[in-house]
Amino acid sequence: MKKVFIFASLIIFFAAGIWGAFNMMSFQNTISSDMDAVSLYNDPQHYDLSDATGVADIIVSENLDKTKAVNAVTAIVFDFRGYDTMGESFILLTAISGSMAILRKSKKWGEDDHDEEEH
Amino acid sequence: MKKNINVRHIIVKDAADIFTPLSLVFGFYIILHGNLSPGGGFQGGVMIAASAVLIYLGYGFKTASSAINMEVIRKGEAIAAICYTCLALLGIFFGLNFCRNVFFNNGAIGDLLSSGTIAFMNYAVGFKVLTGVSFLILLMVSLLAPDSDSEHK
Amino acid sequence: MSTSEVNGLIIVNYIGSVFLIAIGFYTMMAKKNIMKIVIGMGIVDYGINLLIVSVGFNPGGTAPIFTINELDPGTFFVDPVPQALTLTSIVIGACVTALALSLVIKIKQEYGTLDAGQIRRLRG
Repeated sequence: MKKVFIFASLIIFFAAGIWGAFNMMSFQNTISSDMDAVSLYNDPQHYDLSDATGVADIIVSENLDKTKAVNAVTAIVFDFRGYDTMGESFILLTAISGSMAILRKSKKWGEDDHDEEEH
Repeated sequence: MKKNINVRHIIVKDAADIFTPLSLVFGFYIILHGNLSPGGGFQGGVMIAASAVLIYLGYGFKTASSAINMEVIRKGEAIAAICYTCLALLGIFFGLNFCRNVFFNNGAIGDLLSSGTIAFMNYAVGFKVLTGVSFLILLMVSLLAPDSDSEHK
Repeated sequence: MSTSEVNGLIIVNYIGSVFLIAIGFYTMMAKKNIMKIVIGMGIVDYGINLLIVSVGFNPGGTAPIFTINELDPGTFFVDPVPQALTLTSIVIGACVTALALSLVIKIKQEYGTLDAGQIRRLRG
């Protein structure tokens, strides 16, 4: 009986997912296609934000002017959204501290029994 | 049977000997050129952490734990987290908002140290991921039974 | 490939991510071994990351990096914001897997078995 429920819910989820995927094909793009990269590289000061269709237009246009970074993805991760990267650093710290607290033994890591006999 | 185990360890040890310097140098290159080419702190840190796993696979746990001191690596990871927060606090000391690029004019477009705090944050996050991932893997491997990784003399 | 063909091929990414999420949920619900449940958790993470990256696609665009030696006049970029947020999501998936695996190690030490049906009875 449990298997029938699991398969029925999986089929409903799959059908809803495929219907949603076909609906997502008709969305418009999140970045406009009329942004010239070579002209932005030659003079980084001249850009106009009057017809921007989202936040990606603004970020790519003023990337070379405000931060002189060639890599746009690194500039977004460390400068435009550096607060999220700080939170992610703390997640790494929490994972390591949690693992150490769960797997705690009475002796330190890396020592074997022959070190205890020397004491 | 013992001859069979020795042959398997010789092959694994030689493969680890070849690939450890490659992963170290390539990972260091990817961290260093974070703001010029695809890559950055996270990707290069994981590549360098792969060399710790290779040393464990080729030489056993005793050699790996004597080559990589786990207490020092644990403290180094916390110091890298503090370094990142101090770099983000530079914006407040200069009078602007938190986590702001305050000296982004120190070089032309295309230099190595060109983007201000982006390059230094890259190094801090790369060091943090490097030490964190290798400490996690060595911690879980240290609980195995000691006769499952027989040493190769 | 023409622009309309590449624009139509992005449906493979969407259907693939839905497929991965469905398989991950089935593995988490119907399997008894604890290691398989942890693997199912990882598969759900990867499916969601694929969906986030596929949203920011722009037909005809290149990678959002300003290397001047390889750019022709008239090139435009794909969306770099979902790519930057997926980096954080990948690290979060790895940390969750690491914590779950350390819990599995402790369960094996305490109960001696990895069968979820026998562990469910809590000892007082």
